[in-house]
Amino acid sequence: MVKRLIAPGISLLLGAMLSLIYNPALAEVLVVVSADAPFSRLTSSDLRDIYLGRRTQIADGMMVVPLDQSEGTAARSEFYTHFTGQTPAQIKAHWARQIFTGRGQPPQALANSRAVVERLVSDTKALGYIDPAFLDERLRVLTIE
Amino acid sequence: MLFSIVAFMMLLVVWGSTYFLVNKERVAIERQAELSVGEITDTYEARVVRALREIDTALKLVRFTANNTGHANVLNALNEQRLLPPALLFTISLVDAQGMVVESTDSELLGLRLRPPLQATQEGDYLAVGEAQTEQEKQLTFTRPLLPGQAPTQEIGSGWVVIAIDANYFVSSYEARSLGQQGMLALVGEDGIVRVRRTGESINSGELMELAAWQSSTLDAVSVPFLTHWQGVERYTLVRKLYDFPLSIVVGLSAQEQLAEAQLLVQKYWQRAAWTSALLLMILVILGRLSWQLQRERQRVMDERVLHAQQVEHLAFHDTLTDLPNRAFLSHLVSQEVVLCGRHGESFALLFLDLDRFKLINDSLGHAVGDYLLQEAAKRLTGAVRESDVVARLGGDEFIILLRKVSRTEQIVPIANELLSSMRQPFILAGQECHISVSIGVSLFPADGLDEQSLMKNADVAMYQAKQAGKNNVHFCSIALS
Repeated sequence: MVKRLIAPGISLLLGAMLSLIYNPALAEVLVVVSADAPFSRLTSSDLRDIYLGRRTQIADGMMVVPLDQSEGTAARSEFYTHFTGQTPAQIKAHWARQIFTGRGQPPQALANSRAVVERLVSDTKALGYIDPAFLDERLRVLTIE
Repeated sequence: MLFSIVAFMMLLVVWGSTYFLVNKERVAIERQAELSVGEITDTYEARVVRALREIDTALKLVRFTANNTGHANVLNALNEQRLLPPALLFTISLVDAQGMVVESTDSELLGLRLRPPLQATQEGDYLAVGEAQTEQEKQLTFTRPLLPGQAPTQEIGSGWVVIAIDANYFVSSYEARSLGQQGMLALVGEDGIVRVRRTGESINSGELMELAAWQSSTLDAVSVPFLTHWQGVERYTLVRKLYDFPLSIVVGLSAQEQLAEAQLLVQKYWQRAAWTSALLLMILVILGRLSWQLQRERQRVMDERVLHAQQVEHLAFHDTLTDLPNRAFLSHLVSQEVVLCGRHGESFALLFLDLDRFKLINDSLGHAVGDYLLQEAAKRLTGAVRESDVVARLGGDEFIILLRKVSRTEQIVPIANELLSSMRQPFILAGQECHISVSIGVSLFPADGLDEQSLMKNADVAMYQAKQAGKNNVHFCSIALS
């Protein structure tokens, strides 16, 4: 219980500190793919549609597999708030409806940014978001237009 | 009268057809509501059953895996193969015989103690549906025993598998578009307690529904919707007992919301009927008024014609200057008198009058004065005889007087004298006094003639003799005298 409260609290504090140094659009979470992935940019509406299960391909017909992080991680709430404009509760309600009506399944959820990085490196179709601290040379940061 | 009957009939048609339309519309809406309840129920039933089957399959899969792998890292292994439902919504836990959570997709639950489901005391397999309350949400829990008989060597023995899921999940297909704000999707246990119910945006649970009473009220409650009053809302409702699960679904559509649309339409229909009636009445009033005016006009034209005919007739039988009967009328009257008196043995007299010196006045003072003199003379003559006698003008200065019911000269003389004296009064012509006299010839019926012509001729002769005798006197026909 206490842990649940502390984790977002710390991330909020960290986020606030980071936002003083970095551009907030880039600061808290990065959308990344493998360095070998065949694309380097994505429109924000494409990104939103991919993560809400509305489509699985980007403009030129390439399959993209989105990777999620477990509920409660700082990166996750930051990602959804920033890139879809919806709160985690809204996202949950969205997927409840999608699953119940048989219209889709949520992206596979990995435990943390590190797990996402490991998966991205081995799968060039995968798309994920990570804490900037985990960025390394095997990944490419997508430009979101 | 005709117009009011027509108006009444047309109004009857207008309002009758409106009533018919309104009724039809209402019935159609009700039917539509019943149909959509049926459709929504079919879909909802299929979705709930599928969701429950998925949950049950996951339960059995976890149990099977646990019993075959020795209860170590079961969930992780399954999750890596993506065999578990998404952790975002479904929390899966393995619980040992003491109620301790030994494995869970939500690490927060590890080490917590759970109470066994009610069915845990009974032998064999079961699917228990329970409820749990976390800080954020109400959850439904689905539990199956691990069945120790199949894994007798394991020390945790008879534990159980639990899947907990947000109760909202089961009503997340609520759409305001089809169900409105007062519709209902509900999942109800066999005890009649609502597990989860959604109406509009609000989600409730724990209420009691008398499903048994509802279902027994209709013969075919599975497919034919029935009206229910529950918590102040009237709904077209369907209840379905789910196959193989201890749950029923209830779907309701608010009657008021469904009829609201019809209500608007009905109002529009009545309004239209009112407008039509008003217009109709107005047109009929205008038509009625026009027809009345036409009739009045026709009546007026007819009256005018009659009046005109009367005037023409009057003109034909009267002298225009003096308005006395003319020669034609007189001869008609005399002929009539001859016939009447001949039949009854009575008698009458004709007096032939001629103004003396009229030609002189006419020539010296002018025609206008002459005309005036004739009019005055006519008035005096008319005034001098009885009401029943007739004064007529033959033309020029000649007048005829028909004296009725006289037989002897003694009766005539006073009248003749009266006539003479009335004419002797001076006339005021063109500002000067004129003295006029008259000569009178008298013929009597039947003594002086038996027809109009001879009577006239004899009177004329007698008048001529009166003139000869020095004017201003009376002369009786010689035949009568002799």
